[in-house]
Amino acid sequence: MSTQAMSTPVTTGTTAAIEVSGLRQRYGDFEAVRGIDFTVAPGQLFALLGTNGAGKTTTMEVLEGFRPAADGTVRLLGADPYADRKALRPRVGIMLQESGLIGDLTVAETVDLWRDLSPRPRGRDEALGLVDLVDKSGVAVRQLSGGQKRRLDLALAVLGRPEVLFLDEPTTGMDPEARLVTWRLVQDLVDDGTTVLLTTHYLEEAERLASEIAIMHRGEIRVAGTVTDVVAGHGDRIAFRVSADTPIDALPRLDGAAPEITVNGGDLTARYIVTDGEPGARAHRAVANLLAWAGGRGQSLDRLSVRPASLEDVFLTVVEDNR
Amino acid sequence: MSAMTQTVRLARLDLGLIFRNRSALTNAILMPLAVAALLIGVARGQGDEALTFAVTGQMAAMLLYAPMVNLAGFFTSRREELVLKRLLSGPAPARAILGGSALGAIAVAMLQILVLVVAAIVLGVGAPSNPVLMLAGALGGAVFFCLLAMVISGLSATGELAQLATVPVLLIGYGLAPTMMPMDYLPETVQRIAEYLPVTPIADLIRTGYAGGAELTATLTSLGVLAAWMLVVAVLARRYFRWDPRRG
Repeated sequence: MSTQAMSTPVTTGTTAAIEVSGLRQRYGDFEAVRGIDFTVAPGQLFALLGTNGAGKTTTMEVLEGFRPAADGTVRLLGADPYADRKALRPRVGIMLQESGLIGDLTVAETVDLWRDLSPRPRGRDEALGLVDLVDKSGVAVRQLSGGQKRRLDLALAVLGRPEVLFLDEPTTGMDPEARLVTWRLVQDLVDDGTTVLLTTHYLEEAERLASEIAIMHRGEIRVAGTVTDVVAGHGDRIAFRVSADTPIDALPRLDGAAPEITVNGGDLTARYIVTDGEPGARAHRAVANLLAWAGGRGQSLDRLSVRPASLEDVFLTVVEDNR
Repeated sequence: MSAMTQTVRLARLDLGLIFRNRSALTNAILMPLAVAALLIGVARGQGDEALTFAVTGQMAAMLLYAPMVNLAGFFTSRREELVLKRLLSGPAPARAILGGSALGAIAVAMLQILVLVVAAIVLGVGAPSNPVLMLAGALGGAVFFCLLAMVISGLSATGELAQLATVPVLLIGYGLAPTMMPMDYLPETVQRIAEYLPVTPIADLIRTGYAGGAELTATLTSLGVLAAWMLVVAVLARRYFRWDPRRG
């Protein structure tokens, strides 16, 4: 698996909202982050993906100013997130991976507390309205479900209208409807110009929201770029059912790609991953060749499917290939 | 939004939460007053001098509870429940978060001392003769115990363990300091050591401020010993206090 070069942000002339270069971080003997670089342009949503322990949260914590960068440089809105924490604090919203709300307070009291601590807060009902929790105002926080707590966390993170928003696994524990509410809110914030750094285990979330992604594994960024570019770099998938009278060694190579055969019940399925050639044309050409081959044998292809790589394909390739 | 406003807001939060949490209400507010009432009641039967000693000694003892026992538990359980980290991720700086909790605890202790001042006046002990000195002892002592609570919290895994860890300090506060009775009953060497334990100067300063009767040099020594202890716990608090739970 080759590491794809970072695509540079399209915006020129503006400084990046987040800049990470050569960041390394270790806990004792364990190197959690091993020299990563990425840039997030203002108003963009950048998603950090990876397995547990890949180094995502450690990276977030450095950017959030909880710990200094051990090695390398990190800039948030042009400032050092650790040294300039005081100046950055009102401009940044943070949603931690674990919530840490005060269980004895009600939802309304929690928001009121944070409003009283913030310089230019949204109104209580406005904030709760954003995450669809207005009807829970009088409920004690300890009685909320996990997903409701996450939404309250999000309301607090956006209460001060931050320029940069850190979301560490924001939709974990949410039901599908709450997740949609959250996605819509995050999308609205991005549309309004908020820069967002997101970590998530839900690839669909990244695919939907992110303008750029990076997949981390074992402390390194293995793949990065726009979702389209990342996916394009991982080929197109062609599959069909191999008829009983076709010997496996008769199957063609498609643009250099050999078939991979999987057995499912009594059925043989041939799968190709076509990576050679122009992403816009390679699947078309490969399918044309495949159809010509089938036509020559006088057979039709059963359950023929053609699709680009999904983010999940890319993710699994990264996680499995790099031991 | 100044850090001071944030500190006061967070102190109000803590005061509210003490009244919602039965164990905090008991540990921070009711128990110390109950102990004081008992000891003052006993002293009443032993003459004016004993009564004055008990009332002023119990004023010092108030500082052991909200600022130490309860605060050590609060800091620790909040750290373990990630509340401290959550607050730190928000708009308030670290000093407002810690200062707010300390301020709430100090306010509780000062109100308890005020209750004892009223009791002293009602019981005929009289009003404080040197309120500034008394307040210096009480506030210095309260700050000392808040810092000690940070140290104890940093060394404790749970809120319950933190409260348990305050028990030896409580024993010193009652047994090896002039809070319950004069230290004459202790062996000479133990008395010498007790002079330099932190609760002794606090009790001496409050008592002298209230009822007079100490030499200037003794008062200056008390102030010096207390200041030294404050410095020691401040250094230890910086070293041991933690915002993050220890994981793994």
